[in-house]
Amino acid sequence: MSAVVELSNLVKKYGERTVVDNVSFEIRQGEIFSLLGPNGAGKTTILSMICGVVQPTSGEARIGGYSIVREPMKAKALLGVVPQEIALYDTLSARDNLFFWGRMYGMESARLKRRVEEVLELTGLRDRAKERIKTFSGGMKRRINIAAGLLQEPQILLMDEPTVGIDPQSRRAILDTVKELNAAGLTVLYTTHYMEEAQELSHRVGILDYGRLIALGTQAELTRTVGEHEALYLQLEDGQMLDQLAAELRSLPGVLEASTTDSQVIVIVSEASSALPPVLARTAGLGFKVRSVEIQEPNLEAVFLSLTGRALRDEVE
Amino acid sequence: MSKLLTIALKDLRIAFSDTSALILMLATPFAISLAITFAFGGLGSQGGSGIEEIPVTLVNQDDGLFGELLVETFQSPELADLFAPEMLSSPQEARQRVDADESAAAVIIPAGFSDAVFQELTAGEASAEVEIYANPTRPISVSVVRSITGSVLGRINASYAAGHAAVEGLIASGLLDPQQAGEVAPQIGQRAGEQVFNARGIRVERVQVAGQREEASEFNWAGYFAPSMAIMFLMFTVTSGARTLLAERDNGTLQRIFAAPTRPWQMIGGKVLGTFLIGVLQMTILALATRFLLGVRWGPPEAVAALITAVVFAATGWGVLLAAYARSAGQVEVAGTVISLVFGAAAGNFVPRFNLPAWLQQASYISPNAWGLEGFNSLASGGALVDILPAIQALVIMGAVLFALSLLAYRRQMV
Amino acid sequence: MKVLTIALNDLKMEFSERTTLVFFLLIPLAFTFAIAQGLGGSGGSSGGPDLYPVAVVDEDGSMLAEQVIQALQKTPDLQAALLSADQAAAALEDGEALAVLTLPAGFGEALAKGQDVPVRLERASDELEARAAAQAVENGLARVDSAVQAALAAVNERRRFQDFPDAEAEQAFFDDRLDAALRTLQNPPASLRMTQSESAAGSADEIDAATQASSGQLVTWTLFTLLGVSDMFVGERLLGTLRRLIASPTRPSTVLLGKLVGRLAMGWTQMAILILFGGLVLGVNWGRSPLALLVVAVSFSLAAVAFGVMIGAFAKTRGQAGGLTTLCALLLAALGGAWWPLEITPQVYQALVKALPTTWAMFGFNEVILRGADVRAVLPEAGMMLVFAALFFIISIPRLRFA
Repeated sequence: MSAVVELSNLVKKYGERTVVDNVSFEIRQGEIFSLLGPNGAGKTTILSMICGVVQPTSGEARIGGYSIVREPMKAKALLGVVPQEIALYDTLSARDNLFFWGRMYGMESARLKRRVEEVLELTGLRDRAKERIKTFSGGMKRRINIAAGLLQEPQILLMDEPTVGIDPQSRRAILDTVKELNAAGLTVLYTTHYMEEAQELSHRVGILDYGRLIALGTQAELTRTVGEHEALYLQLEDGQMLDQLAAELRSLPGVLEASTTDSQVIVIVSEASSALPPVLARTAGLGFKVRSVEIQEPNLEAVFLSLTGRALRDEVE
Repeated sequence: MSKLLTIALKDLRIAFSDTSALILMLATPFAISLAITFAFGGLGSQGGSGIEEIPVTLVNQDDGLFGELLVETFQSPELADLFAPEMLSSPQEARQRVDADESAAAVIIPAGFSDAVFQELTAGEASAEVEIYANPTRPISVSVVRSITGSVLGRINASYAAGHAAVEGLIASGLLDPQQAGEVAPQIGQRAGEQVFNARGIRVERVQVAGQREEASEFNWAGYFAPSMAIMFLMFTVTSGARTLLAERDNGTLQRIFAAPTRPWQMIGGKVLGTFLIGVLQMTILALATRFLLGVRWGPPEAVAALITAVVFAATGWGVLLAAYARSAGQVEVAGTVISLVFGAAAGNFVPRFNLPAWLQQASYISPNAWGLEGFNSLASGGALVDILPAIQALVIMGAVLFALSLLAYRRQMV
Repeated sequence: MKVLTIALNDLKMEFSERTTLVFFLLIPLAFTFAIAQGLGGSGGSSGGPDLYPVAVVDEDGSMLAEQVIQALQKTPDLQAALLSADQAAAALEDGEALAVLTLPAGFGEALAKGQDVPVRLERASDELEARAAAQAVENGLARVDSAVQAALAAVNERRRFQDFPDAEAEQAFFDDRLDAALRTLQNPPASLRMTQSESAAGSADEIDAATQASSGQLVTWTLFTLLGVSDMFVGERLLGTLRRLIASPTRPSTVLLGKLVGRLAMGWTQMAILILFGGLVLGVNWGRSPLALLVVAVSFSLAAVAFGVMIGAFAKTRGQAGGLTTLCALLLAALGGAWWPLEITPQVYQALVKALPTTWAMFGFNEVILRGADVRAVLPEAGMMLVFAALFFIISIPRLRFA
């Protein structure tokens, strides 16, 4: 597979602060590549640099062989962009928006007309096409946002956290659409902080933390970095003082790492069967009630935890 | 009551925590005061109509008394502040100055002007004419030049009339021989003329509407525009301040306040108190700044304070009404600006009120601007609290009605 | 062309809000109309009635008072009515009299003796008409005054030659001389003639206040529209669409140009409507050279839209952009001479405000309208505004953030 997007030593500094620290990876044709990381890791900045909105401090990004810095017009023409915010004119109708954005990609009338209908069909918004974006629900806005990125039939689609804050049906619809499009040959760069999405969609994943790429590879490869370890998932009844619990658990023998998210505790242990009793005992001893326990192969969450010692999601969503 | 205060304090705290907005709130009235100061009088001088140093070009081709007189008037020390005269020898050059906008007017005294006036004394209908070549882009300066010239000519004519009357009277009484008249007449004429020249019998006391004396018949620009700008600015502040009311509705805190046992009037009162205080603060700053920087007379302090309070009260009422009926913060912004501009223009914030048609002046009474402007004008030309009571009354009623209407709207929404 | 697409899109967005039309058209039209009505009437002349109604209250009853009344009644500008004090006060209040002159008891006697006599002239309001009426009354009074003084002087001269036989003879002489003096002053020897630049529109006597105000109104309202480009920039930046535009293969310069074209189109349309409405419907005089008017208007619009971009580059929220737009529009218009004439301001002030683009716009418009200037004459003003435009662009373009 040839590389469609190549990032080499990409750096972005704002004054003294380094937001993207020497990131290099490539996205291969036909794959869905997820950039996974907590809020503030630099995902959006990297995306912004790829599509030429932000200038890198140093390093390079190439799309289809064109440097975004030196040949921006050619590079941008290959991209489809679905930004994190709903970047649409909400006092205009869906159709008006699509026509406008199509023109911004230099599409000529006949083709544009056809494509507008096609993307409306694809995102299931054909019968709302004449209405103002303002009147759309959150999920619908996100779908139109995607539609606008697909108009010019790009080779690569950059999607920045496209499912934030929407209802489960719309999220489902979006994920399915992405898979459909990919099956038809679209390369996708998908950033998210939702591990489940990355897990479901991606061929390869890059994990980003504080601007650095700390892991890169297929899901199988990544989970293997956690080693021969296993992960315990404890669901607790109450979500208070979980930090303390995590700290306590970490001190137990056989526990490699522990972290908490909402009311869930993830513990990475070298061996589940021997580690489980002391973990449960300590947990109960501290006054927590355990509702369920799962022993699993580590997932991406666990990967992140083992690499950074922190949870992928913030304490407070 | 304490709930009201709590809400008010919360809003004030929020308002004052945003430093850039705070600066804008307080610095802008300063900036406006400064602007008005510059426009109408310069720092430290007494406010008033500031026309000064009118560039006037003089050409005197006369070699007699009257031409000299006219020139001397323009060059006199009493008028030194008003005029910046320039003597030229060629009328063409003088007109060029005017054409090039370097002079407001050229006063051209023809050769033989004095003679032509004197000639009347003994014979003929010759008329002596002074030409004023006007700069059409400076009509006010031109009218000043014209009126000064006119008054000098008036005195010249009075002297002439005196001389003529005297000589004619003597001849008619048989005391002077017409033949001899030619020799003696000039002396008689001159003497009579001189007696009359600066004599004044009738002294006009100019009195304006509210019975106040006024110093000059010219329009007091600073005294008009200082309150005018203040009120304009107030309306903008108050209507855009109403946005916070909608912001609260949008992000749900409004409903939360109502979920607690809070009455609508407490909520509205509390929100409004903050805006009200800020409005009063701004207007006070403006009044004080223009008073001390420029010497603009706003009037007796207690009357000014009362009027400011009433105007801000009414203005705030409009802001609250706006917030009650608007459906989004963006709408409030636009509607607020529109209303501020309409009220401002209609009431005479842009163009002096008396220049607007009567029907518009009447219609503008729906705005706090109109009442406020008239009230402040009245105070500035010597009025007292008693004179502006009707205006204060109207403003208070306006505010009360608006608040009541807003309460209705809120109540309907909350149900 | 993408520039046009962006421009049209912006226009579509602006006008999709119905309130824009209010701002853009209704309010300016309404005010141009109102002010023209108030100041000049639709004939475009300096307006006002042919005769100013004034009242005279005679508490004296002497012959001299009679003379004053007659003189005022003969004054061509005035319609003088003799009323009682109460009637006069009522007339003043009702607006039926623009001014009231009160001649106190003892007026005639004191004046005939050559003494200083105060009279009360009360003006109905600050309106132009009332001022003009009061001025006409004062002029009439001055004439009578001069005549009285002239008659007194004649009496003095006569006395030098020979004493009067008795008081009656003196009075007769005085009365006769007074008549003569009044007649003389009806056609006085010295007079003045007003002239002005040949090419100027209108005559020197008729200063059309509505015309003067019209350019100020034009500047004020279009300034709001043009500075409003700032809100577009900030709004789109926050919305994310500006960023999306940059992510597409569209050059930043294209985006900027598109927005400028859209905004300028709005501004030009607005100006055209106001000028045509003012000229055709209200009889406002826009000078003799449409081309000169065009040059001034276009260069002004460029400076204004550039200022708007500057606001857009520095403002961080839509609230800031909106607030700054309003504030700057008002200040620039007011200080630049759109609301009050620059000539009444101090020299220092006049020098300082040359740093504002609106001042030059007013200079330019005044040249065209009041002097009937042609294109060549307004090139300096137009040039100056283009310099401002360039300056504002240079300051703001590097600072424009699209994301």
